[in-house]
Amino acid sequence: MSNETEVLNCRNCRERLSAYDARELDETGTAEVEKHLEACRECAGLLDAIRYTSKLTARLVDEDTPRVLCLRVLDAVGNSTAPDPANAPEIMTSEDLARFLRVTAADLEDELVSIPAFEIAGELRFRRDHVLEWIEEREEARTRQQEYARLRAV
Amino acid sequence: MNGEDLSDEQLMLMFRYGNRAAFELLFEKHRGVVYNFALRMTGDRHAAEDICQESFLRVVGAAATYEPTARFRTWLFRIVRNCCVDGFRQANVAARHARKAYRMPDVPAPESAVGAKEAAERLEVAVGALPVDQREAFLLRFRQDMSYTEIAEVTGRSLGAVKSHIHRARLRLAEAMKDWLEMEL
Repeated sequence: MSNETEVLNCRNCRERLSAYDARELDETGTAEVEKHLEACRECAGLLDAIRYTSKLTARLVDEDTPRVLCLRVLDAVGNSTAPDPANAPEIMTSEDLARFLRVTAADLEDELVSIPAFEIAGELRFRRDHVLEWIEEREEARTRQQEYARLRAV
Repeated sequence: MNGEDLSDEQLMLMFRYGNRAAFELLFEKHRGVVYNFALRMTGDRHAAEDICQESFLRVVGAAATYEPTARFRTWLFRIVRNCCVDGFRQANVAARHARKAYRMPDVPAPESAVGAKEAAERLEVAVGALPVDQREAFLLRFRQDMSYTEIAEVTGRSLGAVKSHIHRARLRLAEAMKDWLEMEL
C-alpha cells in the first residue's frame, strides 16, 4: 500500500467503511470495499476497530443520576402540577373537567352522560358546584353498594 | 401506581390530565439516559444536571399541549437536545469539553494489554473529543439505539447529514482507538 493510487484507494475505502459495516452500500460498492480489504491489512484493521468501538460504546457504563437532581425535579413538578379543585374555574370545559377529575379525555367521554352539563355554541360546559355534587352522589352510591354487598355476605 | 403495562405516551397523557405519579414513572424511566446523554455531550456533571432538570421541567411545561403524535422518546430527546444546544450557547461548555478531552490522548498507553476499563475510559475521552454534531448523532445511534430517521427527527437534520455525521464519528473513534485496540485484538 505504498504507491499513489493505492493510497487513494485506502482513503476512498476508509470513507466507506462505516457504511459498509452498516450494510448501506450497494452491491458494487460492497464488492469494491471487500476487494480492497482482502489486499489491505491496514483498512481491514480499521474495520475491526470500527466494529469493536461500536460494541464497546454499547457497553459503556452510565453514571447514577445524582439524588439531589431527582429531588429538585420532583419538587419542581410538585409545585407546578396544576389541578387544585379549589382553584378550578366556576364554569369548566371538557378539558378543564378532565384535568379536574384527573382522567384522560377518553375516559371522561364514557362518563359524560351522567355528569350535569349545559350546552353553549355546540360545546359542553360544566358548573364546578354541580360537578362536586355529582361526585358526592357517586360517593354515596358507592358506599350504599358496599353496605349492600356486606349485608348480603352476612 | 404500577405503570409497567402503560406506554410512555399513555403515561404522558395521564400526566397531562393531572396524574403526578405518571410523571414520576416517566422520570424514573428516562432520567438515567437523559442525564448520561447530557453528561457525554457536555463532559461536565453540573451542566448535565442543569440540562436534565431543565429538560424535565420543559416536559412539565409542555404537558398541557402534549399530543402523542410522535414517540415520547423522540419528543423527549428533542427537548434534551435543545437544552444541550442552549447550554452550549450560554456556557460554551462544548468547547471546554473538547479542549479538556483533547488533552487526554497524550497520556501514554500502558505497557501491558489494555483492560476493558481502560479501553472504555479511552473511548469516553474520544467520544468527548468528537465535534458536537457527530457526538450527538453517534450517541443517539449507539447509546439510545435510535434509527437514522429518529435521529433526524430529534436533531432536525436531514437523513443524509445524520448518516454522514455517524459514519465520520465512527471513523474518528476507530482511528483514535486503533493503536490501543491492536494491543487487545
